[in-house]
Order: sequence, then C-alpha cells, then structure tokens
Amino acid sequence: MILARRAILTATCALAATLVLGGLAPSRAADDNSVDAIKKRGVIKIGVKYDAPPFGSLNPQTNQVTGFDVDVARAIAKKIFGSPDKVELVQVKSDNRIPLVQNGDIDAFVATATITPARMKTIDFSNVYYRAGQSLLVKKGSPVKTYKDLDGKGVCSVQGSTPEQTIRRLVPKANVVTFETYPECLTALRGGRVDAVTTDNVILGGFQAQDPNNLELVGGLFTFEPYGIGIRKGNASLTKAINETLADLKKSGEYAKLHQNWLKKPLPSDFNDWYDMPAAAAAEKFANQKPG
Amino acid sequence: MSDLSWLFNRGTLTFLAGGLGVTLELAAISIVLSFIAGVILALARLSPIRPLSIVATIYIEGMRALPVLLVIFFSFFALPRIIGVKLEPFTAGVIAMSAFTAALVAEIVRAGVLAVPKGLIEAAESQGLSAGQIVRIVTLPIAIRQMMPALVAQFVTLLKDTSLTAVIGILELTRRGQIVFAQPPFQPIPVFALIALIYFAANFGLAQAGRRLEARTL
Amino acid sequence: MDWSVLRENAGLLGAGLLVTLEVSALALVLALALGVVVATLRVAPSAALRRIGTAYVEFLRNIPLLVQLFFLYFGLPSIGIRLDAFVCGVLALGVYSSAFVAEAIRSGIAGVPKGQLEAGLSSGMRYATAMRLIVLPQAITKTIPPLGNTTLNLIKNSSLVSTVSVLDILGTANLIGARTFEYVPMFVGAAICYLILTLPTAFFVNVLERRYAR
Repeated sequence: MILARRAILTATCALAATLVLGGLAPSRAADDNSVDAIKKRGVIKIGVKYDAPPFGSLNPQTNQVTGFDVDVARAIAKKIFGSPDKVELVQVKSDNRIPLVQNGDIDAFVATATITPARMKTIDFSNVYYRAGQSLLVKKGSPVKTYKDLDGKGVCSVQGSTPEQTIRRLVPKANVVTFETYPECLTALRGGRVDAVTTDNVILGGFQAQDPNNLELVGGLFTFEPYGIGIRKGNASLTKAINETLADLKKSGEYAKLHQNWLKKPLPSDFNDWYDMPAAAAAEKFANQKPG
Repeated sequence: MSDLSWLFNRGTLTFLAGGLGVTLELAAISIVLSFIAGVILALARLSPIRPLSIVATIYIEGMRALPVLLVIFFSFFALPRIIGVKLEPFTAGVIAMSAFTAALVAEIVRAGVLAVPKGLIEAAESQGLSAGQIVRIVTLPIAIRQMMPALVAQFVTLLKDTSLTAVIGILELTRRGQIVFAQPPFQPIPVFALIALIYFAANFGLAQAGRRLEARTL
Repeated sequence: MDWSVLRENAGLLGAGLLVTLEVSALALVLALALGVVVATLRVAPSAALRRIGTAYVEFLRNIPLLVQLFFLYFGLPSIGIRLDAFVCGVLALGVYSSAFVAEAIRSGIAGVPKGQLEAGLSSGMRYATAMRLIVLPQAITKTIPPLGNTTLNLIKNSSLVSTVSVLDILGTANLIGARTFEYVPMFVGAAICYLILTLPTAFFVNVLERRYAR
C-alpha cells in the first residue's frame, strides 16, 4: 500500500511537471521588426510615454494617449500603411524603452529619447526629429535660478534618464532624487521635498502649463538634446521608412503644424541646423557639447 | 478642500475604476497560477524523488526569504535578459506575483497535507478504498479545510502586493491615483483616502468570501 | 552580462544593507511598542476599546503598505507636514507591522484556555501569580512563532522604502542597474544581501516554531 501511494505521488508529480513545462514554456516566434514583417502583421507597435506632456500623456478623463510624439508615431503608420490609425501605442518609460526595442517587443519608440553614443551601441536611431535642452522647473520665487544654484539642494529626475546623469555630472553636490515617472517628481516639488525638477525643457513646459501660477522654468537650455526615434539595431528597412517620414513631415509643412499645435510655438530659428541631422552626427555633437 | 468635484466626476472615477479592474485582474490571474504552481511545488517537496524534493525546497525557501518587490523588479528588468523573451509589464507582474506567492502557497498546502493523520489513511486503506478514493474522500477534504484560513490570508496579501506593480508602470489603482493627484488641483490626500477605501473594501470582500467558502467546505 | 559591476559596487550595496538593517530595526521597535498597546486594547474589558483596537488592526492590514508609505511621503506635505523619506519609511513600516504584532499577541493570549487561569486561582494562587506562572508563559510561547514571521516580513517589506528614494539594498541595486543597464548582476547581488538578513531570521523562527509548536 505504501508502494501504491508512492506511485500515485510520483505520477502526480510527473504529470505536474509535464503541465508546467508544456503549458507555461514561452512559445513565441522569432522577432521580426522589418517593414515587411510589420506590413504582414497589419499594425506597427510604437512605444510612447504616458507621463510626458506635451509629447505623450494619458488623459485620465478620456483614457486617451495624445501628444507630439504620438502624432509622429501616427505619421509613421501613415507612411507604412497609408493610415495613421494602424499603430499600436505601447507605454514606455525612460528605463525600459531601450530593452523593449532591443527585445523586439516594440518596433520603435518615439519617447523623448536623446540620441547618445552610449545608446547607439545598443540600438539604432532615426535622424533628429526634435531639439530639446535640459532645463529646470522650480516653484515661483525659488532661489534656484540656474543649475549652479543646486549645490546642496534637492533635484528630481526620472531614474535612468539622461537628465539624471547630466545633473549628477554638472552638480556633483546636488542631492539627486529619482522616481519611476515625472508625476512623482512634480508631487515631490510641490511638497517641498526637492527644490527643482530637471529634464528637457519641453517636458517641463508641459507641467508648467498645468500650474502656471506656482511653477516656472529657469536656467535656460543648458544642454543640446537631439531627440531621435529608437529602432532595433540593424533594422535598416524601418530606419529608412522613418527617416523618409521625417523628411516628408518637413516638406509638407506638417511638422510646423505639429510644433505649433503641441508646443504652442512656431519653429525655432535654428530648426534647419538640427532637423534631419543624421543620428551619428547628433550623437557626436551631443557628446562633445560643453554645458552652460 | 470642500469641493471635490475634480475627484468625484465621471471621467476621473472611470479612470480609477479601470485601475481597480487591472488590480483585480492581476490578482485573480496570479491567485489561480500561484495556487496551481503552489500545489505542484508542495507535491514536489513531499515527493520521494529526492532531487525533485530538493529543488522544490530550495525554490520555496529561497523565494520566501526575498522581498516581493525585488522579485517584481527582477521579473521586469532582469528576467527578459536571461530568458531572451520580452515581457509586457503586466506579464512581468503576473509572473512575479505568481512565482512569489506559489512558494508561500506550497508551504500552506504542504502543512495541510501533513496535517492529515496517517492513521486515517491507513484505516481507509484497510477498508479497501483505492488510492484515488482516499485522496478524494479523506486526504483532500481534511487538507483543504486545514489550508483555507492561511490561503485566504495569503491571497489578501497578494491583492495588497499588486500595488507594488505600480513601480514597473502597470496602470493599476495606486499608479492611477498618483497620476490623478499630479494634476490640478494637486491634492493627494482625498485621492489617498479614496484609494485606501477601495483597497479596504476589496480586501475585506476577499476575506469575507474566503470565510464563506471556508464555512461551506466544513 | 557584466558581473564586474557587482564587485565594483559591492561597497554601495553593503551601505544599502546597513540602511535596510537600520530601517528594519527602528521599525521593529516601533511595531512592537505599538503592537503591545493595540493588543492590550483588543483584550480590554471595555467593548469600545476593543472596537478601537479591531478597527486599527483591520484598517492597517487591509490597505497596502505602499499606499500608506506614499501617503506619508507624497500626501502629508500638502498639509504642511514634511517628514524625511527615511522617517516616512520607518513610520509606515512600523505602524503597518504593528497591526500584525498586535494580532500575534492577541491570539497568543486568547490561545490560553480560560480554565487554566481559573484552576490556578482556585488552587489558591493570586491573580498576578497565576497570570505570571500559568497564562503568560504559554501566551509568549504561542506568540513567538507569529512574531518571528512578522519580523521576517518586516525585513522584506523594508524594501519598499526604495520607492521613496531611500538607498537601501533594493534602492541601491535599482539605481546602479538603471545607470549601467546591468540589472541581472545587481538584482542577484541584492537578493544575496536580503538572504544574508532573512535566511538566519527564518532559520531562527523555524527553530523557535519547532520548539514551541503545541
């Protein structure tokens, strides 16, 4: 009888093991993010931010993601499919967008990402589609006027982002606090936990616009941040399609409209200096800049 | 403070309700998966096949000794590097919650099985019952009755712990709350009060349901 | 995967381990102190006091620790109370855990049959003597295993302070992971740090459990 019990137990365990190995084992096909594969799939998967207005933000009232980056993503879908609606938006954050595109989980991301030499080792970038610069958001009347005033002060940014690394380098004595997303930084700024939030001026501008009576942007643009669209390394067909999309946007005047619509400003005077700059050149310029 | 229409309006409440939906979905899937995996792990640990038993023991004891938040971060950031399979935040969340809770469920199940008196099984055997009948009629009912309170407590913990998946960007209840109070009029406290109330109701409901289930199995 | 990142940052992880220990130790003291008070409320002769004790326990147990921590860290400054992140962590962890401590103690006291106290009294013992010699030793032995588990959970839950920028074990690992993209080695390192703290605790709890079981 002991033997019988033992046999049952063994059989159960074996069955269980089979179920686990057979049922739960990943069975995904090999990744393919080429334009042909995207066309066959019928939809392009593009990562955008959900917390970075006016580039990409989720509106709690409507549950819709909208923004400048979202419209660029839709333009890419239009280029490939002829319809801007054939895009599946995926939420990405500063610290997961590169792994996601590396793994082929998404085809590309339009997510306020700066083209840097370090990033170009792991993924490819489109030509520059936007120029931003790091700036500071503070409470009105704050003694902080430039990044040089941050010595010994609290400054918040998003974990894993370029601004985090830049501010650590520029102001080694600043108390850099990082969170997963910007809303926490904003709440921390309002609660007086930090004296400034730092990232690209445009993102900060979006937050400032929500609360113009209490917050202000200071410090000007102290970096050159060329935004590029992240693509999996070696995906030449998609890179080409996206670069063509960017060129079309400029030629048709669509880009200027997007700029006015989301950033509430006409194209800046240096527009032709950076728009469509190849990623490699942008990365080099980014790496060689002197902040200030 | 007095006017809370910014919080209690259809849009914001729908947004938060969607978060509760994600929370419950995550918890429900993880409860089912962790229960299945937990039973398998418990049987493996009780198994006479020594290597199987050792592996299960190491898994259970190791997992029990780690913070679930570490498991969540690992599942999201590190696991894809190891297995080469990309994971959506929700999938990573389910894997982390299930893998973690399975170890705790396994211990509860094992304790339940061990609580069945040996004499009872021997008595049933001498009555000529088959092994399958013994499991069905004797072992399982006693073991399940023994396990229920601890299982329910564990699943309440799981439901609470789903809030931790906010940190890998899953738009569940806690993260959506953060988004709401980062917008005008920037008042966190009413949002926290509402979220706390929702969690309380959900957990209390789950505990009550567990108690009713317990009463029925007795 | 580049494991040298782990060696290079071992010192930082070690510092994080000390922070985890510090948060856990302070929160444990707070949890024990509050827990004893609340347990006393829960077995008090007054129904109103018992209800307050029950409300405290049920309220704290059923709301996620993360929500409580975020309330202290992000919520309170909006009404002018700004506690340091570390203090928020200790407070949230200590108060949350106190509900579990209270439950452990209450069930320990409730686990001693009333007849035993009565038997002691009827054999001529004074109340205090009967409590000291009969009830409390049994209550304590029944309380030790769940208290051990609460301590274990407290250490593990202390990792939540990393979400409010405290550089404990997990916070340090996450920070370096984000900077170097070497998440696997850093999380493995963090896991080892936690095992260093939790495995001996778990072992100790198991020993106590075995010694005091039944």
